[in-house]
Amino acid sequence: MLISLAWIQELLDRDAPLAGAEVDTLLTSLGLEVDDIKRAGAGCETVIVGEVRSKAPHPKADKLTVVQLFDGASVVQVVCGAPNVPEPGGLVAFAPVGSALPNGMEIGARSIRGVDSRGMICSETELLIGDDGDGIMVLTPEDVAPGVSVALKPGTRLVELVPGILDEVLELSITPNRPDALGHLGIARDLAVKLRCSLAPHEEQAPSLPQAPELVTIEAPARCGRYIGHVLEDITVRPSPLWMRVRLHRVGLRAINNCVDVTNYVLAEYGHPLHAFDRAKLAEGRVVVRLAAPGEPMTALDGTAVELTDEDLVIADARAPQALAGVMGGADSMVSPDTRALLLEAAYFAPPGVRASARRHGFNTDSSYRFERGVGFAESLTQASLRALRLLERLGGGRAVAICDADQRPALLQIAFRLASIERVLGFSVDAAEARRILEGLGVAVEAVDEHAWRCTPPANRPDLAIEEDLIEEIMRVHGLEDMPARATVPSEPVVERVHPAAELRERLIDALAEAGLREIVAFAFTGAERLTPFEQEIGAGRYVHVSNPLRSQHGVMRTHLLPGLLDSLEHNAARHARPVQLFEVGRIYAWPENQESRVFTGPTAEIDRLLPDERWRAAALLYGGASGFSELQGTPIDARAACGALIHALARVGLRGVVRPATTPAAYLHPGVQGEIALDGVGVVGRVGELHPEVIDARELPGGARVFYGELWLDRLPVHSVHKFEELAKMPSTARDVSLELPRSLPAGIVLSALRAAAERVLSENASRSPDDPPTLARAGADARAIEILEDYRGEGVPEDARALLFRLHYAARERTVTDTEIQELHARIIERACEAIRPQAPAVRAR
Amino acid sequence: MPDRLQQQLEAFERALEGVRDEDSLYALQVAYIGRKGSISLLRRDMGKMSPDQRKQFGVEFNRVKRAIEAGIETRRQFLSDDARRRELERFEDLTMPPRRPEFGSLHPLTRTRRALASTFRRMGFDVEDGPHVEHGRYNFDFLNFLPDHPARDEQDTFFVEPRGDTSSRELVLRTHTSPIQVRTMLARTPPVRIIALGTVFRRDEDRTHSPMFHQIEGLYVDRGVTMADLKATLLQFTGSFFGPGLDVRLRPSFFPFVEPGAEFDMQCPFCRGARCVVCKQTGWIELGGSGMVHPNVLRDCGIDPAVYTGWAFGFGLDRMTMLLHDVPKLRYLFEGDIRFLEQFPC
Repeated sequence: MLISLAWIQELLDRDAPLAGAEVDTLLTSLGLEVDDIKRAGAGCETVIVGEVRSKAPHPKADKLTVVQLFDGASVVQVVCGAPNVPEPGGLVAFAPVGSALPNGMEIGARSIRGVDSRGMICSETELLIGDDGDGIMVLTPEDVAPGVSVALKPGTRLVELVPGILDEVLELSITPNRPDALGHLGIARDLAVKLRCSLAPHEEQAPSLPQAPELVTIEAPARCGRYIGHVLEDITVRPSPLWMRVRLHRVGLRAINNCVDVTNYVLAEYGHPLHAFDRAKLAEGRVVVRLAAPGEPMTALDGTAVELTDEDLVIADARAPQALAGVMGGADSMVSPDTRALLLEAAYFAPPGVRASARRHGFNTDSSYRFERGVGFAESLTQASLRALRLLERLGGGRAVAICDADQRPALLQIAFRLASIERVLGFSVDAAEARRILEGLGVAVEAVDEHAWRCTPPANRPDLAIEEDLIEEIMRVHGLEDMPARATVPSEPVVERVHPAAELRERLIDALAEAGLREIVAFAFTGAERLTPFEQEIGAGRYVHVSNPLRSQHGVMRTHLLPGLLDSLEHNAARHARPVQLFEVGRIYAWPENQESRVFTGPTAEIDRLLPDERWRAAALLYGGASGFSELQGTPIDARAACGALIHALARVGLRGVVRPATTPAAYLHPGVQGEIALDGVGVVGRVGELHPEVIDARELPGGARVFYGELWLDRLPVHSVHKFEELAKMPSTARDVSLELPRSLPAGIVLSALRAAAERVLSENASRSPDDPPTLARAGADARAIEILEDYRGEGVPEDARALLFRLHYAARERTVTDTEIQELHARIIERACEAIRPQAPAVRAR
Repeated sequence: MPDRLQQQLEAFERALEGVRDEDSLYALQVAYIGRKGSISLLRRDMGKMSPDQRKQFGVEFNRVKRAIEAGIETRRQFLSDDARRRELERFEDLTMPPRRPEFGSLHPLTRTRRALASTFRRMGFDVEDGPHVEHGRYNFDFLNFLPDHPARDEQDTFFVEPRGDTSSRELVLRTHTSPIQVRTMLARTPPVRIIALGTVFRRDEDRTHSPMFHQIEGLYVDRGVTMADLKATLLQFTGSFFGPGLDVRLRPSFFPFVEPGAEFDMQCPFCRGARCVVCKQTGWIELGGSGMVHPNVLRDCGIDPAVYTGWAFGFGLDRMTMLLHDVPKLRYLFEGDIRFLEQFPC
């Protein structure tokens, strides 16, 4: 909102001028945020009043006039291009030679098509004091600002006649709790209390007018608490005087005609929206405040055709709606040049109704903005109405002839206030007399109940003051926070820190993935539905969580997978450079549960939690070797096994030993031949890994033939925070036996490994049941404490073309003794035989070499 | 006989000259003075000798054997010295690129989040989070946002389509971390001392706004908590996070869930109040909002406002991150350009 400092100054009973910077500091300390301060009017100081002595057409140009102008001292010749140069005796605004106008124009003596011109006759737009650029300003005594004693005569400086031209304009952000501050008077009131001065007297006396109860009928009292209607007659609709046009222009309002300008002027001053109807256009000359009939039509004064609903409050005449209450007037009864009589509305409409109507019909007007936040319905409303009446009388020559004050106003709130509460909330005390001065200065009626307690009645235009704390805030605002002490209190009971193992696990995984060479990204939690299609196998479209009002369609669905975000980043990088890109993200995915009712929630938030979608954590890694053939980094190839490595490393970092197994349910978004699932002993599948399916890559802007590797961990499946139990150290060294198995290349080593493990566990436990005295078992003896290791993947001479020889090592040990060669020889042979049997269906030609 | 010993000794000495390694030296040792060595074999003939001869042979045998032993020892020392000398002549160029796994990087937001969390943990705050898709009741109603008040508009809310007609119509992407306050207060009894940290969403996107961003919020509810305690905590935080001696100032403002409400500024940590580019020549950095928890909020969360008071504060992580690392554009945080990411090694 724009605030004119000159206007504020006028409302304060205080002689010392206020500077913009000073007001900035004061308003900020009062909680009114100043976004910007701009000086206005600089350059207008040299403009003076000139009197037209004669005018003649320019000899060479039809549209130019040669004017002899008296500037108070001498007569100068000026060439003017405006169509409205007044007859001799007319007064105009004249910028003499040497002026530098606000619009940047510098005035010098020049010759205009052969005729000398010494200065310029100005329009509003050249001085940046109005929007009317169609002609020059022709000045009349009415244009002089009220209260100015300087006479309007040739040679007088314009800024002395209309001081508001020189101003500072502040742009404020008013928080939604302060509708009273949406006008100059509200701002001035805050400043007055802060500056310990009073407001300039501005109260108008109500004229004694005949009551005309038939003028206003309120049929919806719940929506309209008060409606003051004044009838004015003998109005002459014409432009407002310069002082008013300048003032409106300074606060960003457009001058239209005196009737509309007055309502806008009062809006800017009191923060109270008013409306003027052309009474002659109102059927029966009266208004009815009622709910609209469903489908009832109305044309708003901006030309919008509105189809009303039965929840819209309208101001109707005896026949049809003439205004959408508190939002916008109707075109039918708007003020026109022919208007002679007005019905001036000053009303209070309940905020929620105005808000709903404005939203329903897509309006956001100065009026609805204020009504939504809550304007006053008591004295301030009366005063706003009287102020408009006085101005209309002065500017339009009208006279008030009747009034109807349909008053069904709500009761004012009373707040019990204990003086001790100030310190209880703020941590410091404020003197009782000072607190009272502040509250009363802000319009709160304070009545002492006893020494320690007051009964406070806030004014009607402060709907934000409802409880004791609100009053404490007012005292704090005005008193200031500068002298607030910093005083830490000690918790009244011990606060025990809660640990969140799942959150800690996530942090460690983030570290691990970064250590594994990947770069962490933060991607948006929403994406486009089409981006999620490749993952429908996991979470179907029926389970998508849709955003109703996304900023763009690509943000319409909460992500069900982390890959789209990683691919977005990959695309971004690939479009900019050719380097390898290795990324990861640890974040949430979102989906409606398959069965909403099956979920179990406990605790005080269960009732709400049951209504929410599932949010699950995922850690995802993406590897890409770059466009120009970076296939490896520091000797480590970038391939699917590197993706496996990153994830297995991350698991190891949190104390979990993961293995990659063939995928039992292959993912459609991964290459059918290059994928696996990540599993944990005793837990099952906790993630998947592989190369992206070429179709997923084709759908993206990536270099042709790009290979991208991806893996993810499902964090909700990972066990958290287990304390590892110590196992006694082996007393004797273990014994190792190797076996080389000739296998088809297509058979995953993981299958052979599990077959060997299963066989070893069976054979050794069978053996143990026969000789229970310290039998041999598999030993944690290999690298990384593995009992069965893969040592070599041999392909070449001695092995068929489509086969490979995998060399395995098995470690055996007993608890108290060294296992003997002979007992192991036999057990080992049986284990190999069992394992080979187990894999024979997939590898008929398997053999130990 | 002594001659044969002498001959053996001379032969040994000749052979010793040619020994170049430990293994041949050992073989030579065995060949002469081993159990079946040539010298040792000569002792077998001692039985056939006269006592005098035997005595003379004994003396001579010991001399030769000692000489051989000494020769071997000397040679062994020479060989080991020589091997060490040659080992030390080896040269490796350690200025070639080192072999090491290349580390990745942590997102700067992760760093900021961790730094803030650990600072507040030291100050006795628990770190809490909650769902991103939140119910309007926790995002607004419990936080004293009246159902039809314009304050809701200021939040630029993303709404979430409900599922079927069974679930409520009022699901949103949380617009602030404040629902975490509500959830925590509902679940615990005072003293409640937490920070809420997490992702939030608002329907706003331009140069300085991202539809997804991050917030941190502090909440302390107990008997006797005042605004002065809030100021003390903020001072403790800024001191601990940016270094001691930075002033904090509060400016009255409005947030529906606090009363009184205030914005809080911190003295610019870069110029320490002397005015610089970062603080736009004001000496202060606007951090966020704060205030005393509104009694309606406490009451709705089952806490008696007649017994307890509390404060809350909150600010944005993204701007703090940009400030800390001198990041000029908000979008850099979310587009995942590795040339940006790699500047924050782990």
